Amino acid sequence: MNKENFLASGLLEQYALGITSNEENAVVENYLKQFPEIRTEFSAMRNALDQYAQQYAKQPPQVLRQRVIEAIENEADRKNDTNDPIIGNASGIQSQPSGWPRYLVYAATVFLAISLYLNKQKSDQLQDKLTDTQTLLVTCETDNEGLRSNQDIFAFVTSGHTQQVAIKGNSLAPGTNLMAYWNEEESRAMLNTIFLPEPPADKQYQIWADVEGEMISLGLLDQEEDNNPLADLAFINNAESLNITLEPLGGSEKPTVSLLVANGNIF
Amino acid sequence: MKASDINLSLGIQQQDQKALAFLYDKYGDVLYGIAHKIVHSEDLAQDIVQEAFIKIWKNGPNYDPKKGTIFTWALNITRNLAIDKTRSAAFKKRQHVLEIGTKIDNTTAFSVENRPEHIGLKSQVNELDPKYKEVIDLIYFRGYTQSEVKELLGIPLGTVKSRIRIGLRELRKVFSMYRVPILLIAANWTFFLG
Repeated sequence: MNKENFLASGLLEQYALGITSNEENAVVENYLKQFPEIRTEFSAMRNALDQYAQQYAKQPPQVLRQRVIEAIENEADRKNDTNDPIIGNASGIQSQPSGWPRYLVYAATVFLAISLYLNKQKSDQLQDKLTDTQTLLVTCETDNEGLRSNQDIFAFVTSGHTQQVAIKGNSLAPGTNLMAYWNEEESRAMLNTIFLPEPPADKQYQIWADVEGEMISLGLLDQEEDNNPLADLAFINNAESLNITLEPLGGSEKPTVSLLVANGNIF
Repeated sequence: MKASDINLSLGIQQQDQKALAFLYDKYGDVLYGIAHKIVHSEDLAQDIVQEAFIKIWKNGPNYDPKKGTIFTWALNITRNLAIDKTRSAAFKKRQHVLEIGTKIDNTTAFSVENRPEHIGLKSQVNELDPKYKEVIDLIYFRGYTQSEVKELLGIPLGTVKSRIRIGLRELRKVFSMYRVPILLIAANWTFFLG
């Protein structure tokens, strides 16, 4: 809202009459702060209202002045009385020659302070322990997960339905000896890749399944993830053999047969 | 002249009882008149003025001159106390009894004037179109909200809003036309002692 729109909105008049909401007050006060013209406008409005109110002036009875002044004096006295209630009470009611209640108060205060300090310390210690315990719990959970995963792999590998497929390297990769685990029942396969030699920089291993004479890609062998010796391998029905070729980075649609490095038959 | 200028608002802020007495001497009649205008009772109006002064004294340290003159501030405190009073159950009961005999709420009529310098003005303010005056009085003296005015008068909210705007504009015209001493406003700020 610009200045003109604001003045036309009537909000300022409503504010002068005291009927604006808290939100509207904030808006109006913001305009008043920003624009001197609006301030002038507002004080003219308020002066008009003040003068309007003055039309109703009426002489009060003489006694009212005294009443008002006495009422304020009473109020002022009451305030002075209540300004120092502790001293008032202590000297009036509790001052005894020995003064022992006062020492009791001091002692209680000191005791409270010490107790608070000890509580704080204990609380800090407990907080530290809690943090340690929470960290431990997280570690345990991570370990547990790893354990469960390993148990699962162990169960899979040792299952009677899982067939071990030895993939042996040919003259291009002599000595290479991989093991794949093939389970027709569960339609699941795994492959141990850690024994593959490092491929040339511009090449990547790709694994293929021979299904009724056709080579179907089961994916690229990513050797980055060698933390887990056994990686999941895509499963395909009716595979007769598994074959590994060297392919350009990113893999190929069809295997480069000349670069077949290893293969093994599924019985 | 042995006189010392003391800032009235400073006195009020510092809870100086002399400043309160000065405020009473200067504006007691307006505050009393407004209270009376709202509650229509001399006894109640006196109670309200007393309450208002206690409140002014208590809240003095919170008074912010940037937000308005001492007079406006004191006036609003008195007005609000009076309006609160009219909303209390005891007041409503009392008003009901009074209404049997007389119609006490007449928003278009002025009360008896005590300030001779305002007599000429009175007739002029009365020339303010009653439809504007009515709306302003309902809000200013009866504490009505805009929607309450809308309900009471059976006019749209937009009309209420425009009547507030025009009413206040007309009111300003009336006072500027009669050149009511601007000193009145200036005087809010200073007073003399001694």
